[in-house]
Amino acid sequence: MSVVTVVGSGPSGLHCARKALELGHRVRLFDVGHRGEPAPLPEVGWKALKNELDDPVGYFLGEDFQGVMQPDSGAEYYAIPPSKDYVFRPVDTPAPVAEGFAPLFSWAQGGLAQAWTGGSYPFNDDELRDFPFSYEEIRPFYEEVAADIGMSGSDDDLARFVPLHDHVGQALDLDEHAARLLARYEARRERLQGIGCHMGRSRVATLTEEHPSGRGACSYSGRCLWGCANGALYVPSLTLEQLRSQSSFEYVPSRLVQHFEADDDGRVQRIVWRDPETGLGGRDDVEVLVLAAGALPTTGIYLESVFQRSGETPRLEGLMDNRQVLVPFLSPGMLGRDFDPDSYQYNLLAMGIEAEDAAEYVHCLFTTLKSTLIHPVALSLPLDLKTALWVVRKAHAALGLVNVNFADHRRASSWVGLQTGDRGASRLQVHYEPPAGEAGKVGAALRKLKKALRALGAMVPPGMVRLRPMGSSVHYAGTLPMTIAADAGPHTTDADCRSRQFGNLYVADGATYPFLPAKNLTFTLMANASRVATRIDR
Amino acid sequence: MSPSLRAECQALCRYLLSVEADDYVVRSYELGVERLGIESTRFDALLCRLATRTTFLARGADLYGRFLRPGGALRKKTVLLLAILESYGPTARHTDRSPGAVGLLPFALGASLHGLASGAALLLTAPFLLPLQALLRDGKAP
Repeated sequence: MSVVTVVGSGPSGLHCARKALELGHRVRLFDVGHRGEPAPLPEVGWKALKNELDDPVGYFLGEDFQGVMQPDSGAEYYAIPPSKDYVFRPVDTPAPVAEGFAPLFSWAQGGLAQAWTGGSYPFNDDELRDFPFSYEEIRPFYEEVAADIGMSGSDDDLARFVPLHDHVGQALDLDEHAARLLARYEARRERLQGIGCHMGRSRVATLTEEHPSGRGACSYSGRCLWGCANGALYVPSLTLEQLRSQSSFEYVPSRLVQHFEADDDGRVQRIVWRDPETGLGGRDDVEVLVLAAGALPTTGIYLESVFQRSGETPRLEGLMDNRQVLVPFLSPGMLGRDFDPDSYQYNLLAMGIEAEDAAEYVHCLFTTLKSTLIHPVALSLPLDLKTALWVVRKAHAALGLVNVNFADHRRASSWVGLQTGDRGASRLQVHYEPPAGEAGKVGAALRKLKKALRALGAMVPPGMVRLRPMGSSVHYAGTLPMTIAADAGPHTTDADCRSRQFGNLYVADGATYPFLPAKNLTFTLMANASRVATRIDR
Repeated sequence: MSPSLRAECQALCRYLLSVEADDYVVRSYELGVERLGIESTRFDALLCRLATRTTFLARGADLYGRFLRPGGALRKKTVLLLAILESYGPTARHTDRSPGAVGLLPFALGASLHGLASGAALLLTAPFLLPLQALLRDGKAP
């Protein structure tokens, strides 16, 4: 068995490490590893925190009031809370040059998934068409991950798009608003399915029963957005904690891996890293290297390595991300009610919108507004704040948000490159162009969604639909695609996600995806990373 | 704590929620203004002074700011205060609760009354605020 060096502690890196350990390998995981603070008063619900904390304003808004949405910020309806600022804390590294794309990076333990909403939707065979494996081949890995992290959902109308697999526990309890929406869907099912809209319970990595690891079931405390206080909502740092108790696992934090060095035969010999705090550098020998730092950082490490080795700066084509559109809605039947703060904060319902090509299915996540700060919504209304506050208080329980996600394809016009500078300071170049016909595709889906919302007894306030900039979904993929094509170039990976250029290099994150379905890809990242681990030394 | 900032906080608190701001709210407000670097032009200072006179004038100044001075200090301060009030238990019990009756009709009636009050406040304040904004331009407040 080998010593496997993994770069990155996000869902891909950690599940590759987990599986590699299980198979008897030793694992060293290199990471920058920013950490957050533990959730305060874990036994207390969201509403009670406002009374029980010594400084609730400091907690909810941050020491620098960074949680206050400013009127001229152009920001969206919600923001990352201060308790999750660590997920996006930067390191001292040259900022990327980006066109048509607003990239986000995380150097946190657990990666960007520390701030995810738990959506866990396996890809089906239509979506895996361009992948070198079928659903049945990856299904065991989906099930293994589902058992490991804990999941809840339901066998319902979404199953036509989202295969049901083992180890999915009972669905989360619905709040009143979500229950009304689902009841209206069930009463009008034929009409809604007639326009291609199918609704069901969300599949999420949130426990509804106690997990063998000791993590408890969701306590419906409403604290999800600020950080689950009892570990019911899975985050990758929980896996890191478990792995650190194993003697064959070594966690090496404060290491920003910059590139690797390979010999003349293309075998990776060592990684080169820098401590981002102290600036000190170093090298570590490797036997097998797994890059799992996230599609963009992984691509950056790969490109820098190629540049250092040969002086070349190839342009890696095929960068993908999911276009997202935010659609607020209001259910008049809920006006004037009090919202229930003791409920699950994130999306409880999802809707699939059929497309002519099944792989182009549109994925909609329905979040009913509950435990959240309302000043961002109030300031977005064309009213004075006193009136806006009155409106939001009356409408709080009636408000919701649909996050509409669209698939993406690899295109030569979207790429990642390296801009090399003096004294070895390179920066990533990111260029993204939306596909031709995107506006039409988005428009058609939104028209269907609005019809569906009307059938569900809801309405979309005019002028409030927001097209998120590319890069916002943080579902980056496609730059080192896995392919079995005979004419695959050197900067691709094979069916095992092994580099074609460097024989002992594997890529375990979304960089290898040949297509990006509309579904959240994190669950598939974990499953594929586990699959990759089984290919090491094969 | 600046007496004018305290008075401003108290007045805006009465405007938003018809409640008195306690020491914690006032301290948080002062800290927030400082940490967010909210600075006033001469016109912003005038709007803020107007907003502290009466709740009715506060509404007019706020609505004026919403459309004609959206990045101005009054708007930023009022949003800051709202964020504080909804994060702090004794005042969040107001922001986290729906006022009045359930249903579309009470909502429509209430919205109409608020609309009338806002319209009246803007009609009263806009005619002298517009020329003043042009006159004072972006000069910094002393």
